[in-house]
Amino acid sequence: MSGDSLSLALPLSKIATGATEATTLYRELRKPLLRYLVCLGLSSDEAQDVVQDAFLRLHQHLAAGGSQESIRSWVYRVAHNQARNRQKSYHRKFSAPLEAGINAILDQATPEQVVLDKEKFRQLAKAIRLLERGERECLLLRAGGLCYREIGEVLGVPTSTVADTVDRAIKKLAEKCNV
Amino acid sequence: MCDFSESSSGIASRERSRHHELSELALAPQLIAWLDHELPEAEAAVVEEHIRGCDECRRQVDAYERVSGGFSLYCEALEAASAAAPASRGSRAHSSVLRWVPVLAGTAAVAGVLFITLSVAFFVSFPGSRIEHSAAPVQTTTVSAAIASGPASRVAGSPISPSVDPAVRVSANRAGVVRANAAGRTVRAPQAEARGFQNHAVQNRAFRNNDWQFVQPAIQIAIPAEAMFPPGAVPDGVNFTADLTISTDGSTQGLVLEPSVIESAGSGGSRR
Repeated sequence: MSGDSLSLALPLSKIATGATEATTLYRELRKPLLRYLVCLGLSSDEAQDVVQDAFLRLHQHLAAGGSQESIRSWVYRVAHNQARNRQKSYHRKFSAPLEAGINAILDQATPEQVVLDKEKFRQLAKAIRLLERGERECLLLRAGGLCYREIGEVLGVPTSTVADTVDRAIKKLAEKCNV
Repeated sequence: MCDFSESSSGIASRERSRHHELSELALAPQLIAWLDHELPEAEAAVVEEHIRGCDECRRQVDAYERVSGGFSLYCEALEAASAAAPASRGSRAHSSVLRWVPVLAGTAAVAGVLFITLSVAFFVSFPGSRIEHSAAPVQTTTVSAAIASGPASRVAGSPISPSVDPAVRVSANRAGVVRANAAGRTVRAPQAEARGFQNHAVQNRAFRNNDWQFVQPAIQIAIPAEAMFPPGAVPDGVNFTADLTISTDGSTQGLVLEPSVIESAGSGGSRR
């Protein structure tokens, strides 16, 4: 009897632990992950779907006793791959993000916009669109708070490549924007 | 000496300047990594010390920080636009629907015309199918003796007993099979349909039986017995049923009479 209780209790405790960790990660990563997916070119609804699916997989991964090492990059990688698959299926490009957002944020009066006037922001947006896909993805993940190692894990490239790519992309933007 | 000392200090100054340029060249690729806290502690300390004494590198670091902040703002802009996108997507969908309305209307009109044309062609080609549409509003009338005179001459020659009920009821289905029952006295079909019937004797009973399972009484024709047989030829109490087969072009292919006994005459219903 005690053996039965033990064999039943262990998976349940695993699931409970996994659920708690998944919930914590969800609260932490949901918003930056949504922003990353939207910046990749997904619509808001699609991004929501991808995030839900990614965290469902995370829950299954943790419940199955999967590795918890680099779990942030794991979630980002799952979401990133799903976003790529969706964009392939819809024949869309990463290099075609929503343009209306620029005007949307320019119309808002936030302290950050005092620093960057509209013309400079447009220059920056234009320069961002001219970046290569890998450079843009690296910068997006960097803006989401991921370190170079995590970015490399998400994109499947070495950390040194990420450092070089980020360095190159930032210098391109600085040169184009004359800052 | 003085010249030497001056040249010595000049050499030292040039050396410092050259060392600074070299360190700037060496550290320039690491500025962004230092900004992102991606350098090991030892390297980060060297870069930090260099930046403190180098206005150019400090200016570059400031520029990189502004670019990074601008990129974050750009991401916020995209997110804000995406959040506002459903309404615009809905309006786009609405406009696309409006754009398709003329096409859909034209397609529907063409489909309607095509349907009507095909229906007319079908009813012209298969006049028996008109019975199906006239089945619901069944009318009751009486076939005149003149209409039934044709079949009557043929039925009179059949081996059936000359004692026949005063009326014959005929029913037809959508496939053109007509069933006649001598117990009836009324006609349940437009007269125009009834006039198209031309009866012929059915030679193949198996064929008729196969068609019989599809029979749905849509038209019932009551033919007065006096129109079919001479007066006194049919004895009282004797009844018969006549089965007619009508082809799709409206012509009658066969007529078979089956004798049966009437339980109570004059009710007008089928008593098979």
